[in-house]
Amino acid sequence: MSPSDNSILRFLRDRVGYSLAIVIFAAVIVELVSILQYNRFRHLVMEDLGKQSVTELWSKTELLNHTLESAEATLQDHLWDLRRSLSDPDSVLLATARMIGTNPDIVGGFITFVPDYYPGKGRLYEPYARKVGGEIRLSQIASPDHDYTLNPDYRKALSDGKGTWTDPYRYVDEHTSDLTTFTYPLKGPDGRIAGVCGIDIDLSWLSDTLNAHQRYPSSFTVMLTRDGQPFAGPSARHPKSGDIGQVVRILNDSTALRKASRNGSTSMIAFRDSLSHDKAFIFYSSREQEPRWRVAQVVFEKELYGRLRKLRLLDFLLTLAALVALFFMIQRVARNERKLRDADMDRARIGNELSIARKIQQSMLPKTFPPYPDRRDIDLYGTLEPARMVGGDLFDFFIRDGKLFFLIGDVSGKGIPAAIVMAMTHSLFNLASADSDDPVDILRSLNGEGCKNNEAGMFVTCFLGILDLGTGNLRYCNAGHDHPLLVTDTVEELPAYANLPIGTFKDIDFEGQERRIAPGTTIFLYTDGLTEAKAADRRMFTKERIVRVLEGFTSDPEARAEKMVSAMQQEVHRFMKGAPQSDDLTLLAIRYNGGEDVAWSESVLLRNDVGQIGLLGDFVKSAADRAGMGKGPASQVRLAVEEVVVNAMEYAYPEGTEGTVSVEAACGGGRLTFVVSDGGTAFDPTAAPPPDISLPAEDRTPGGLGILLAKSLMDTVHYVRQDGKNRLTLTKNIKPKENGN
Amino acid sequence: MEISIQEMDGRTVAILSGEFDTAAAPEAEQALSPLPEQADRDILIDCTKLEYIASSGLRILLNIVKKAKAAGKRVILKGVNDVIREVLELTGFIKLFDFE
Repeated sequence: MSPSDNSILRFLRDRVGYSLAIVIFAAVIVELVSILQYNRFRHLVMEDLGKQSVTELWSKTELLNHTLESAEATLQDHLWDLRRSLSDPDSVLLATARMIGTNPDIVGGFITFVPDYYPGKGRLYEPYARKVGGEIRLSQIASPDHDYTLNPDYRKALSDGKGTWTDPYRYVDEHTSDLTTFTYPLKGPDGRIAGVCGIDIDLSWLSDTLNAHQRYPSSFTVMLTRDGQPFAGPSARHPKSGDIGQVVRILNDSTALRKASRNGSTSMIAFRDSLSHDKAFIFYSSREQEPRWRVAQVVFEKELYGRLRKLRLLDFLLTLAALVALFFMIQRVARNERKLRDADMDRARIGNELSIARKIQQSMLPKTFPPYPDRRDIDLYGTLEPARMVGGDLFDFFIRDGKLFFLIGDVSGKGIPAAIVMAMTHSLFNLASADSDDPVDILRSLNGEGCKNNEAGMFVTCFLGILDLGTGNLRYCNAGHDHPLLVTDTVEELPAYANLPIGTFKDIDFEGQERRIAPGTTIFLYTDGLTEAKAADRRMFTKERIVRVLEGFTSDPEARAEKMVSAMQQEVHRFMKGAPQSDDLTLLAIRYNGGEDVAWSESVLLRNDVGQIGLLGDFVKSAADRAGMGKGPASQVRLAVEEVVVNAMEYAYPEGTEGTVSVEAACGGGRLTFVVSDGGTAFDPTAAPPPDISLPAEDRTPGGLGILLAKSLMDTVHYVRQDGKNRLTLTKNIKPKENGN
Repeated sequence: MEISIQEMDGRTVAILSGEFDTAAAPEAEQALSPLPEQADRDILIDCTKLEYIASSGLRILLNIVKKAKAAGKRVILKGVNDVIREVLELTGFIKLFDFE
């Protein structure tokens, strides 16, 4: 494919080019149809005009026919009067006057007597009655100068013996008039020819009548005598621009007449007007009876099709406007389509991003259940079902230093904004609870952070509990959340102060509570997605139903947390009967089985002097021995404890000052736990960056090795600053069967 | 902890026995730190009787290695027990020594 083809294709693919191509295609089709239609119309107009001209020509000559017929009739009617009056030349004149008086169309009447008819009147005698200004004048007009016997009409009437109309002629006296005369042989009572009587008809009106009402302004009508002389046509009152002489010539040209096309009694000749050079048509026909004058109608093509052309122009402009509109419509449709496609892609992308967000959010939640398969003291299960792809509910828990930290929360609102706040709250909780085991402290710090930049005014209701797994002591703080339920052999609500939710006001304080949880108790926590779960008929699940479900477990001391949560889920879904979930639904059950016994504990108090390390070594060795640890693990524990204690001795107190470091050892729950505490400067050794152990000898520095070893050798190492002391808790699980490492 | 230093097969041999804890560190440093300069050839540290070492002990060993390397000599550990080997591995020190 050549480059130019490419660019054409590109242009076509381009939306403007595409719409333009469609419009041009439409324009070509419309124009072709229009041309065909125009030609068809022209044909129809021509056909129509042919028919129309027949009737028009006849109607135009109708008045003429009537005038001629009535004049003939008047003469016939008066023949007996004339005949009767023949006896007296004077009374014949009066009879003539009587005759013309009865018919307004007749302007004159005469009798030309055969020579010597009245001996007393000389050879020629022609009584003549004529209308002049409303009265009839009588005269005898024959004279040697006016010898009517020489007139061919006189002779024709005598020889034919019947009435004859003359061709129109111009008669001039005071006025100029176009006259035609009807002559008729007059016989006397004895049956002999007495002369020829005649009447004159004025045809001056004919030109106006013929041309007064033309359908097309340039059209004109002309009448021709039997020998082709024009006698009525465009007049001063109705002047026409066409060349009338040319029309007369054509009508007298036998070659042209042969080419004429006939339609009934009417014929048509096309010609080009010599003056305007416009194409024109002559429609003509002859009178059917005597006198066989011809009448011709001339029509100019430009006027004939003028209106059609105007219509076509209008049609063209309308079509053009419609095409322009079509162009913009196509553009618009294309744009809308593209918008829709973009919107679809956006939706798909958002959907995809949402499903990723959902995965991220789900991954923030605890998902391994049971979370502590080795522990007997705690059994825990939680679920979160978001109403949408992502949600604003959260729950989390972890065990640190023998304490279970747990949190359930509900961010105001739903969807993405709630999910963002949820994620923020979740990480703030982890951050805030890393070095505090006071629920009030943690919530206060969450609130402080949550109020910062909270322009959206979102808030979080939550319940935070810290359960001492050794003693069963629960410290908790409720920030506007649904009260948890305690399931023992009854179901009761955990009383909780009404603190404001997190994120409402910056300076509010929280009030915490404490309560001892008896072994065998399940703490059941939930969000309002449970109480407010709606059935199809808008009824809510309500707390009563929750309590009823939980009451099913009061007689089951071994009920596992998971069983309780799934029973609640089943019940709420059965209740909703497939109605859409309107809010996130979070359930968390924590069953406390009682603390694991602390077998023993002992402690030693050391001065901040590394000389006392030997003492510490003996203490740790004896504790490990007593806990039944093998030689290897015992050595590991000793090294770890020594490292953190030396650290405390060297760095907790300013150089030269005396201080103490206390070390407690406790054995229980399959673990040996050491708590190293000092009253020195706050310092978290676990927060220091680990040394780079891959460096060559010359680049290595000795720092950081101690805490690295402690972290590596123990199962857990955790720092808190509590009551003005640094407390570092180290635990090591006891594996009694193993010996050495 | 006890430290004895001997010349054996032309090598300087330091025999460590007991527990190399933080309390023992100052004394050990005094005994061991001159070795890289005094030794003619490589330094062998015999740990066969060494039961335990803390990070303060590692620090002293690191100093010896640095000085020896600068002097073009090697530091070889011998008879390291599992506990000490684990410590050397955890701290990355295992790469700093040669073993026999």
